[in-house]
Amino acid sequence: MAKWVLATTLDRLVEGMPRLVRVGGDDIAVFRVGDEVHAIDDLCSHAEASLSEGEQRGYTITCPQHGGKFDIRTGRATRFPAVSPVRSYPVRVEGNDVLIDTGAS
Amino acid sequence: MAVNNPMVTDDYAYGFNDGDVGVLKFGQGLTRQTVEDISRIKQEPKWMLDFRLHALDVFAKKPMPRWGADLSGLDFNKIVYYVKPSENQGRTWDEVPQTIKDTFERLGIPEAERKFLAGVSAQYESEVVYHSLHQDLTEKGIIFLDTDSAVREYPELVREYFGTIIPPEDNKFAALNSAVWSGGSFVYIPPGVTSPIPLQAYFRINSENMGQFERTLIIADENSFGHYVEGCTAPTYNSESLHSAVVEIIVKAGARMRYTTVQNWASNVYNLVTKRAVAYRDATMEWVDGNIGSKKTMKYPSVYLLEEGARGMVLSIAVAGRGQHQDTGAKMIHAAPHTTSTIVSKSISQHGGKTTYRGLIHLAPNAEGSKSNVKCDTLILDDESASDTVPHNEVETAQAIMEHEATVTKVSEEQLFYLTSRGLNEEEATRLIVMGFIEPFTRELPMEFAVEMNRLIKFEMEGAIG
Amino acid sequence: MALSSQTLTVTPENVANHLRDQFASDPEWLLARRREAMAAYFALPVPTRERTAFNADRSGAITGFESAPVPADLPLPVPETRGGVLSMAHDRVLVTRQPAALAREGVILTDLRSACRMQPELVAPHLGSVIDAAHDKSQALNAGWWHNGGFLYVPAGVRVADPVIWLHYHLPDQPGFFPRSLIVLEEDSEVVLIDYYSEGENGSAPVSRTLAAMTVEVKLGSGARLHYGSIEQLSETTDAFVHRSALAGAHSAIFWNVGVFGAGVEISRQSTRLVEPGAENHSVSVFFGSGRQHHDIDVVSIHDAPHTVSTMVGKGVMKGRAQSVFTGITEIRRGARGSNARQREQTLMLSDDARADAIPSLLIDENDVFAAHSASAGPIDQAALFYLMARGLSEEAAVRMIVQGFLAPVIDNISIDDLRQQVWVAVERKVSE
Repeated sequence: MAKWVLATTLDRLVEGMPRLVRVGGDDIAVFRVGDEVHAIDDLCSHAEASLSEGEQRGYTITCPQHGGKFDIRTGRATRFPAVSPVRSYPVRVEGNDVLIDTGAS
Repeated sequence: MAVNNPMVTDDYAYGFNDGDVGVLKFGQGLTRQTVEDISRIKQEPKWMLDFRLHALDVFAKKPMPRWGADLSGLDFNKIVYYVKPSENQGRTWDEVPQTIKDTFERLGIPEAERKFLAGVSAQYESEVVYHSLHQDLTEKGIIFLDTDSAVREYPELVREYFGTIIPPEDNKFAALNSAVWSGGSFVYIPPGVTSPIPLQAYFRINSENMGQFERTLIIADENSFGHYVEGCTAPTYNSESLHSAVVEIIVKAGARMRYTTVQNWASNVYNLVTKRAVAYRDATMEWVDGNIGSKKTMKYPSVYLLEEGARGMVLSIAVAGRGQHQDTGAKMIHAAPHTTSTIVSKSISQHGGKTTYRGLIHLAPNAEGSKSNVKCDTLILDDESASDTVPHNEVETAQAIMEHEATVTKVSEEQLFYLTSRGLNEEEATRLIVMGFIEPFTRELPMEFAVEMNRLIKFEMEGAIG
Repeated sequence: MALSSQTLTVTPENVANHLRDQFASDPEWLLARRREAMAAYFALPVPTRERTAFNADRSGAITGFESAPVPADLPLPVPETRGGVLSMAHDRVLVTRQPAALAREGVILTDLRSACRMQPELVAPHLGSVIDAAHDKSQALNAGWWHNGGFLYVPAGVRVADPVIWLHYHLPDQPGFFPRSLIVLEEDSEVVLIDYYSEGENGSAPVSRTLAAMTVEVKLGSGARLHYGSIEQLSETTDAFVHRSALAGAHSAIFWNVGVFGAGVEISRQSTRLVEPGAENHSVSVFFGSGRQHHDIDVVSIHDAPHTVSTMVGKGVMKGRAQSVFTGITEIRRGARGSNARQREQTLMLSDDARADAIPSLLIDENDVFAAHSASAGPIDQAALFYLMARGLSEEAAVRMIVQGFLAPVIDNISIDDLRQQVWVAVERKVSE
């Protein structure tokens, strides 16, 4: 069942500068690419590291710890040592509001 | 796996012939200039220079690991990061430590080989052997040459894979290697081809291959088979104290690759190595890893099991004597269903040495139907020595099985009694028990290694080698 | 009767005054120790654990000090038993019952605050001697702010026949829970102690987050034997830091049986130091995670003397999205010749969204020893499940039976009848969730 929460606002998001939001006990990394907004779990699937502290280039985020890479649109791991995907959240932008569906995955 | 290698920038240009390379000097310490000069001497394409420089930045930013062996004795500023081939003759036989010479004597190493192993002579007079072996390989389409040459002769193939398995960001020493790598092997085995002989780096000689920052890249294409052998049981002497290699291996669907190492670096060496393989559908990767030498070794050969049916195996031994710390182990990452892994680790510590088994088994959420089995056994031979076993098991699925067992003991009184009552003295009996203990490992070695290994262990146990 | 509690904001500047208010009845020597501990608490950083992402935000500020007094007449259950009983809610002692026979033999069973006042000569030398609070923020917090707990003293040669039962209740409207207990067994004494930690329903509205820092210290004289059982069932809005530690003298033995079923995030450490020859540590840990619980459990045996023995068994069941980390550490120090140490850890995974990390470690500095460990994790045997369902059981009933079968070897070995039954009850509750 969908559970849309107001996570942040568009004016706070800058392309290339990921943002960490905490929604109901989950840490989520939010990214901007042009006018698109994408959201994935902040915790890297490879080790205890925060993806929002990594480097974003386009649709790829590089984990700052060991260099694993993920596609921010799907959460899929695209380079070692990351292999397992991270959860990806549906995002809706309404005006300036950015909503994330944290319901059942 | 993606064909586009994200590590490689689009720019590509030769063009480093300017200037007289003979003028370039390489002293202690590492700067941007050092890296540029290395690349220039090797006449590398621009993408490789960019790769090295990016890695240098990463190396500077990465912290030292806060676990593992004690690396506080390592001074990055006192290391020479590159030695031009022509300068190797500088070392004389007199400068080689007596303990090394003694070991050569005991192991019956031929004269010419001794000089090479000690870094005194740059060439090993078995080029003839090498060339005839090379013929067999070329006929089958197998590519086996040093990595430097591969970058120049097979650029597309190298670019596709280089740095994709172990990116510079992986750890500080991978970053260092990525910046200053030199030597190492490049192997490509075409689909369906079985390599007729073990590929031994040893025969493909020049002193750069025994250097400190080898970078090896092996690609076993679909349904191929290969066996790569690195190192030798005789001690390898190098006045430089840091050996930091990177080995990347890709085993494609249905292929099988075995990588055998016997490391016996001299007792001044810090041996910090990153070895990682990826195995695809129904592929098998086997690491046979022997650690006998060095002052401190940190090495955890790993296999990423990426597609269904992939299999990984690590068979390793670690022997730590006086002043040594072997911090070794293995990592298996199960990232697909129906994958299996086996780790067998045998460690021996004596004369105050210390062995640490450090392992990781990770079963990802999608690894259903997978199975992992780890067995580590340690023998502590005397009351000065120590051992740690620290396995990490991470299970993220309910549909896989993970099993791990370990024991730490001294030589069993009963076994000793049995053997001494049959006429052996205690030392001989202990040696026999130790040989039995590591037998699962030695039986997997190519014969000449096994023979040398036995002689070496015998020698080590006499306490003659420190 | 609901009582609202105010959250105090305690700072290094006002802590001495707050301590004096909160713990007005404590003797000066204890207050001095509390002040020292709070100073350490303020100086230490928030703990970091490799596999547990603990950030201060999650649990609210780490200043969840309760201030509202606890009423005396809480109708919380007390077990029927012939043995001694102590029931407490925060600083309030609800029930204390010491059989006359025990008192005659010199056994002291009382709450720790009273013991500090009445028998300081028995408490002071031992309190804080087993766990070092100076380097651990949560232990410093407990050492400074502990509101009450149990004190059990058994004189030399006394064997207590019936189990002693302690109940520590956390009231849902209290943002902090800091029980501290001390057990001292003189030579050749023996006792069975069951230590329950649970929620005391009092009709009050629960706080959104509770911080619990719990401590148990044990000292065993030579030849002493302690059977210690414990069940933790704190609410899932609790972040719990639990530390139990024992010092075992010559030929003494401690039998730990601990069941962890509660808390939202629990970081616990159970450590036994075998400091004299012949000492023994036998530990069984059962943990059951469900929902989004996270249990990070260390069980440690330190062999510091020859001919010492340890066996550590861990059995975990994981369902829902629960996560567990079980780190068994066997440390055999140089000189601990002739020691024997075994570890076994098994985890049953009931759900694909759960995660279990098992890290059995052996740190051995002595060669004349035997040490072994094993760890395994796996799912319910599908064949067994199918078999049971084919015989008419629902899937739920079949799973229940298999979980019971998995845990039975350790739970049925618990010789303390009361505890064994309670553990099964707790397991049943988790299975049905």
